[in-house]
Amino acid sequence: MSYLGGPMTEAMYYILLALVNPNHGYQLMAAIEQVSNERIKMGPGTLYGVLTRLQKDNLIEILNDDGRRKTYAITEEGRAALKAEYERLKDMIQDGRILEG
Amino acid sequence: MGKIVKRLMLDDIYAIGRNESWFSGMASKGLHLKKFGRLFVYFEKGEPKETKYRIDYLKEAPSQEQLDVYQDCGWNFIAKSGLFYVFSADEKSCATELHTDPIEQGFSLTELNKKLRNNIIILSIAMLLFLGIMISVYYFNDEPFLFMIKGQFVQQILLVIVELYVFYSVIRNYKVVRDLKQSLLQGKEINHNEDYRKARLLGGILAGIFLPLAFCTIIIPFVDIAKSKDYTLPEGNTNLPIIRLAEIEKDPNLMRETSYNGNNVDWANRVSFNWSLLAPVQYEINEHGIVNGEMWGDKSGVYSPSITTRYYKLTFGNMADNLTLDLINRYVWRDNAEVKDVNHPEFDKLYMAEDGIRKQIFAYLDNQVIHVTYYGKERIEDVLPQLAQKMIFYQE
Repeated sequence: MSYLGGPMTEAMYYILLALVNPNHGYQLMAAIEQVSNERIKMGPGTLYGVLTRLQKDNLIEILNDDGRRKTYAITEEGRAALKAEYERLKDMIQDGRILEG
Repeated sequence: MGKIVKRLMLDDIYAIGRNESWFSGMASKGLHLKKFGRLFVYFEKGEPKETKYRIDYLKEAPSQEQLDVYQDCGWNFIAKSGLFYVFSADEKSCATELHTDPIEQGFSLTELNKKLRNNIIILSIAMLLFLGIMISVYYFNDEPFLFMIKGQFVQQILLVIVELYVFYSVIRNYKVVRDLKQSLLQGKEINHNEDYRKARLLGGILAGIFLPLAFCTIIIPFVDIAKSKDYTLPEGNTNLPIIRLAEIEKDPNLMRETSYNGNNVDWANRVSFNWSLLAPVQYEINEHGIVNGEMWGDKSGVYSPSITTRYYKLTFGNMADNLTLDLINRYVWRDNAEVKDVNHPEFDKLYMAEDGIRKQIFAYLDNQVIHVTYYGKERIEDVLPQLAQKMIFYQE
């Protein structure tokens, strides 16, 4: 299922976010934990499932593959999609302001 | 290494939650998953251990790095079958769950779901063609009973049943994956402790019915080939249910006329035996003779009578009438040739057809059907009592 815009899953959002700094799978989970303030502990199955999908959709690319480990980075397309999602989420927060007594 | 124990798969490989639960159940009995395929699953005997299993559908073979990451998270790679990879972790370990996002997991099944749907479309077309051919072969056949008995009717029916079962399995597989994908996309996690007993029992019953059928489908043609045989008809007496030329022709100068000799069998004087489930004894026996010094009535050449006997012993006697009618339909060529229904006390039914020198008998007695074609100048009626006797004798 290729990404056609619209709401992202939490896993997708955080992986794109974490890949703003190129990284390899090994440290990506830790980076996601960090960037989400330890709110998200992503399972390795989900991580690699999303990486495979994002790569197919050209939202991320492999910067370097030395045979032992691959370094992933976000693409321009991925950055644009992430930005659009960020704006959408911001709007949602904005709209939710009425809840703040 | 412990002893390897083999178990039938029985359940769908696509029923992820049930299989995970089954593997865990086996591990708690000391049988630890080693290898699995479509048909068999192999376990290694050892100490009972509470183990959790996860089946991951991976579109691409995992890299060593990926397997390392899984292992770091507590998941050891155990076995794979196709694109299904099985990982295990100690029940007590605090391994991070393999999949933490059901929606993403649902996305990963999209292609599999599409592939299985295409399988259904392709198989549906194949099934329609297959059934169409099967039905038309019998429906448009002038002699369906003859075709049934000589052909592989039982095997074809079994094949249809086995095909239907395969078709049902493909639809069931598709439904399992579609339902799983939909429930994941709705945010519902896979139930890793789903009850597997009922599905395995049902699978076991179906396999118990269809595997032997599939086996029969394969084995029947081999039995057929192994049982069929051709040999030259002995000149002396035989126990075969046939009338010999010498019994019809009174002339002592009658000699055997031989012809093409292939595989050490004289094709003009040949016994051909065949087997099928519906007619376990089938003979087609030819005999050719020549009477030197005697001419055919029209002076066309040296008198050379011949006789061909077709004999069928049927599994179901009530097919005898229809088979006899089919034989008449097949071997009485001329539309104007008269087929006489003759009352004869020793046969259940007897028909005779005469067309010049070509004289035919069609008859049945219980589950035995016989067709005799005689080319010659003599009367064939006189040998009827002998023929009946031989059939009774052969039956015993």
